[in-house]
Amino acid sequence: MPEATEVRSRPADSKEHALWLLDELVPVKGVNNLSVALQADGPLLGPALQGTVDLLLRRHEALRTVFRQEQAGLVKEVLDPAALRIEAEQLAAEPGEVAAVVGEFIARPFDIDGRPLVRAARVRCADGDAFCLAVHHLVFDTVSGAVLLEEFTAGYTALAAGAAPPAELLAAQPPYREPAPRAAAVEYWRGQLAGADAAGLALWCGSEDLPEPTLTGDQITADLSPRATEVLRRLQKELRAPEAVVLLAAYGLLLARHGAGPDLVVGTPVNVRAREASRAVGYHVNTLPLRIPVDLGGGFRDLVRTARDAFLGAVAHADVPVDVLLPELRRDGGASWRNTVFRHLFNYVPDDGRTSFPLGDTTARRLPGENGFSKFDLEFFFLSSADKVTVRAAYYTQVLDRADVQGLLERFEALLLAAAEGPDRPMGELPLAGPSDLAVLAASNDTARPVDPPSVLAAVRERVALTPSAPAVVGDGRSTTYAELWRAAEHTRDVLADAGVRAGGIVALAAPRGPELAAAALGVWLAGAVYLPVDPEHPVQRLAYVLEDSGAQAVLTAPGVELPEGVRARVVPLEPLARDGSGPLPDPGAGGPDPDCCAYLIYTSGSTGKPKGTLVGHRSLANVVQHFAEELKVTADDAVLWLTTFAFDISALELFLPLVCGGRLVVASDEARTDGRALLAEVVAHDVGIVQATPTTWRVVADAADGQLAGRRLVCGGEPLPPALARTLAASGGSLLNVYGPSETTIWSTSGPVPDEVDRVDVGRPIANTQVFVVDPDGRELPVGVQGELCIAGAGVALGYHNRPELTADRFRDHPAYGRHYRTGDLARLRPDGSVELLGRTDRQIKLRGHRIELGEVEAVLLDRPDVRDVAVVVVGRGGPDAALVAFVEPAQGAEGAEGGDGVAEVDTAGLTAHARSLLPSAAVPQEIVVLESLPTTANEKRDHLALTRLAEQRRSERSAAAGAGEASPEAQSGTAGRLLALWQSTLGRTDLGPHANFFDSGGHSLLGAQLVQRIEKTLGVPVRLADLFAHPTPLAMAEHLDPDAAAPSAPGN
Amino acid sequence: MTDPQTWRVLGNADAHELVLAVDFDATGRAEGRFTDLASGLGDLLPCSIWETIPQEAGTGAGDADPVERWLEEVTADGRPVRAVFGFCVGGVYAGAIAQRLAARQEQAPALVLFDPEQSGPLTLYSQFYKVLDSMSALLSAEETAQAADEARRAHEQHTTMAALGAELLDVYRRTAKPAFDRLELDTKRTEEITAVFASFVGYLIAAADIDPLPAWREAVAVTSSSPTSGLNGSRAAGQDIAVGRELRVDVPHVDLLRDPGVTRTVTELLGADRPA
Repeated sequence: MPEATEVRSRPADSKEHALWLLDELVPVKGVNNLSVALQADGPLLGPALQGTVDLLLRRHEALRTVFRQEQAGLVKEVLDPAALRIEAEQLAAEPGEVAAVVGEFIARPFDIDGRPLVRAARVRCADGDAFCLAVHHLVFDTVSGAVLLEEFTAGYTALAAGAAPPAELLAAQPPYREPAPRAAAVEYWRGQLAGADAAGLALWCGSEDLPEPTLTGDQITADLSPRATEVLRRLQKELRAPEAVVLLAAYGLLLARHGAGPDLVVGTPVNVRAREASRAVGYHVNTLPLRIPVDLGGGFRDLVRTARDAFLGAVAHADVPVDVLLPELRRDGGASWRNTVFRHLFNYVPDDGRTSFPLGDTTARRLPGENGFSKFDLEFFFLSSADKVTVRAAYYTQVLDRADVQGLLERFEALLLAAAEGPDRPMGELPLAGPSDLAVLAASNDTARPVDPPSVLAAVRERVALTPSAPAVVGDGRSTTYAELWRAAEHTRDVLADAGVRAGGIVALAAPRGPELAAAALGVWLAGAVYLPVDPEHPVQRLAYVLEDSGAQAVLTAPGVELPEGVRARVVPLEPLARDGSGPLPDPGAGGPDPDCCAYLIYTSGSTGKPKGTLVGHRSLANVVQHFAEELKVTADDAVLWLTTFAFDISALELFLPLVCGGRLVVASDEARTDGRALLAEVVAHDVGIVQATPTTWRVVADAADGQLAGRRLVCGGEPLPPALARTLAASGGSLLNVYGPSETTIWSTSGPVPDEVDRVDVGRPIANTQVFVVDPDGRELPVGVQGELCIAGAGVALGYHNRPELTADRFRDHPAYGRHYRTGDLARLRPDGSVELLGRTDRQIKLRGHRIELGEVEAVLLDRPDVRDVAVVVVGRGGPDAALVAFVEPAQGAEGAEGGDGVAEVDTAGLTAHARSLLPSAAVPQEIVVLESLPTTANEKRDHLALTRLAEQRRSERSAAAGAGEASPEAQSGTAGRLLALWQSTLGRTDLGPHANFFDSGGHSLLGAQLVQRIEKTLGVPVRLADLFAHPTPLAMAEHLDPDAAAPSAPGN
Repeated sequence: MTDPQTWRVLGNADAHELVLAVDFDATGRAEGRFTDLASGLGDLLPCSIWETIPQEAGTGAGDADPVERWLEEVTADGRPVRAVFGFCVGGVYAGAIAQRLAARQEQAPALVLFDPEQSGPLTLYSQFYKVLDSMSALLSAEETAQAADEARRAHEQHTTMAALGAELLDVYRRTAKPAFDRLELDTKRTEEITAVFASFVGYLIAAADIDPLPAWREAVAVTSSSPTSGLNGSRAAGQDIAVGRELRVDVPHVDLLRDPGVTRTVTELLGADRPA
């Protein structure tokens, strides 16, 4: 009979294998380290502590189990107690630093190469010594931690007193071997998880993960309030569900109201020890995916029932480690190795509520013992004792920040309390905001103040009476006094009356900026009519449409302005302003128009292509003008630049701001709108104190500023202000105000100063008499930090769209608390300081191959390169299977990159693509980068995304037409480089490539490269290897390589 | 003098000194290449820059010590080597080359590592995923998923680099077949492209046999800003690798070899104005 040899190692089971694999895959180590940690009130005795560690190692086989990779795979082995000694490390900490030292000790990675997966430390500290056992999850779990803490306490207490340790600690604790998962249980989980999609679990708060997760974790611990605890215990009885299930349901509701689900999956660790092995130390936990669909139309009672079924079902089938099923699950969309099925964890542990316990002749308390990582976005860990429930919220700091989690904790309690009050009330109606949210919202929206006088006309009239001979409008070599301006306005009133314009009628103003236009606007109001600014420079079709759609009764036109044919409105020529300030002054107390009546009608580009008109009331305009007069501290000594075309509503602020304050309106030349130097020259010449412009214009000015903006008040709005431009402007010495607002809420609705060194520019807080709030896609108000659609209520809200009742009803809504408001279509979140952070357009957030992509975010990444001055990203083929992102970039002046032949700076598109790849998920990297000398802008000087999308679509269809036509162009066929270029283009399906195009930077990969090489061989009849393409990836380089003598003579440089 | 066979000459062919650069530059890739660095260094550094040509798998060459094979031609050339560069896993070989040269020439060459990385099963496994990712546009979702699953199982099953490499190569062959067919590639092409992958696998396997840490202790490491590349990646993995000197630059990994600032740094490091 052969001698029996003891086989010491055996294969790891599938669960251990999965955990080990995760440990290997995670780019950071230490993620799976667990611990038992405590701090005593006094010193801990070294020998007793070491003796207890020895005791525990002897008693528990799991602590002596090691793993290593062998030919046969991962194996484990239990080391002999005699062969293993874990010497407690001696560490030291300053008072207050114990938790940090312990945390570092725990986070230190273990090598899974046959070495022990446990280590111990004593931390000496004047506050009292700490003890910590760090153990890898492969041999440990939370239950093990509780067992070891008890046993350590008993062992140490005995040894420290010089007594023998308790007898039961001297015996070996039998290890627990988990039975193999039952087939029926596997089937259960298959059914549970069919069709689950982790991509739908992202919250509306926080940030996207990095391409390479760091898993850095942090946590916040809080107790539920006594009221919430009492409510919880009541709900438990009332809804007949275990406390854990009520908490689970409330957690699910919290996640769902923050955007996860409605097909919600939450992970929960379940102890799988058999009853008789309840004190076994080891890795005996399965983290199970609880699938809990949340119907916000239903009540909390229903959700508790769903959660109970999911929970009890999971516990009954707990023998399946979910990793067994991973290969079967959907892995597209937002899922990653990190969170294939769920991103949020729920954990519930009954607790005896003791915060401290006796240890030797001192007392000790348990330390949280965190490893500093979080494998999941968020975990709510509940410790429930008789008199309180503690929540430890652990989170992944890349995805959520502290304020987000603090908010989630508060809202958890708010929802729990609200659910208890109405367990059958639809859960979508339960108030979500926590006390901090409410405080932030209340403070931010506390903007009420009188609007006096309630119309701009009345305010200007007062100024005319007060300083009739002061200069009101200057520029173009002319100066007009307040009295002259008023007289001209009265003249316009009379002319309009003669032309048959009635009160409430619409009068179009087609004139360049100047005193005549200023007077005409006031004259329209004096006639009780509504002005409609149109830009004579706009395309004829647009003018014709606007005049027709508005039903304008008259058009006041400046000399030289040509109107489209067939205009039905009566054309009234605008006379040059007479230098006549004589006659009686207006009565300042004469009042003004009805503040609720319409002051102007303004047309903006609609997303559907047809401009739409917005009707704005006198009070709305008076409010915004009065607000900025106060915020910018405008006085009668100030001059404001009238720069913006009058057809853009922000122009009205430039016009009326000086006039209601008795200051000067300085009319900028048309040249100043596009030439930064010209603008600065006019600003300096007229000592203009206040300049308002869009970022597009500011960019031109900032480049040329050279100290000339110092001391001036700068207002920037109309489109997002890029941080780099904000920093440049702030550094110019001027004080910068960033403002935001749609035309539908009258010029600007929020405003805030921009600090010098800014990373993320916000748009400030609501202006006077204005309230802002953020809603989810179903119109429910969202709390601070959670992104949704921005809504604006208050004095600025327009009367509605002209002749578009359906659109008006859709965009202008009523809210029980905020009243009439406008849904902006802008994505935003409120910051804890009450400011509004814009995150793009709701219609600029797209889904591409399952990934949610915010185009503004892609633009921000591309804009971060020094050689890029402006960028716009659009989608082509939207909604189709081959949808793609195209980035249009404008090179920075004096970019360090190569200068093109015509002197225009170039952008390193390959570098830009690489930069995007390093920071964005692959789906968000633009497939094509197109360099334009300047990006097209709309009439209102905003980036024209619509025009760019058309351009991108056009390029695409041209390309596919060209690809269809093959390489037939005679030019392309001439010379080796030309023929190669044609092959490059046809293989990549692009016509925009030049002789320097690198195949691998232009969308090519190895397999396509092989195809290209094959085609080159066929077309040119010369042998080519793939390696040649790797070494010579451009048509020109390949041509030189294949045919050095005949290389294109025009090749520049080398 | 005939052109070397195991090296590609990137510039200044006739200079009095050599600079050797190790990289697996035989794939189409987004990362900067030594070609980019060499074109920047061209006028500043009066050295002939040689870059390794990866050896082809299946030629038998793989059996020889790759480091010796590369060094043969350097020794035959006879010019002193001023510096040895390595990119990523190339840093492993660069270390070995520098160590052996130190024993053979008067002055030890400088060793400059760009985001150096060690090689191991996980490197192999994750590189396979990158390759699979680049093929996925030509494969069905099921084909991609199956390949991913096979690779995962291979990684679980094999603990030696050679066995894992062989298995992944098999998975590659099976997976790439339908993609090759869809592109109508002929045998020459499919063999060539498979050989490139095999050669890369061989490059990683041989690198795993070398312990680069002693050599790296004398090296200058240029570390990019990418959190998971080079020494940043090792640190994130809890491994603190000792190098002689570490220069951290605010340049992402992909741009490391083509960034003008890095080029200047390298010039300064090598004392370009030192009389040759």
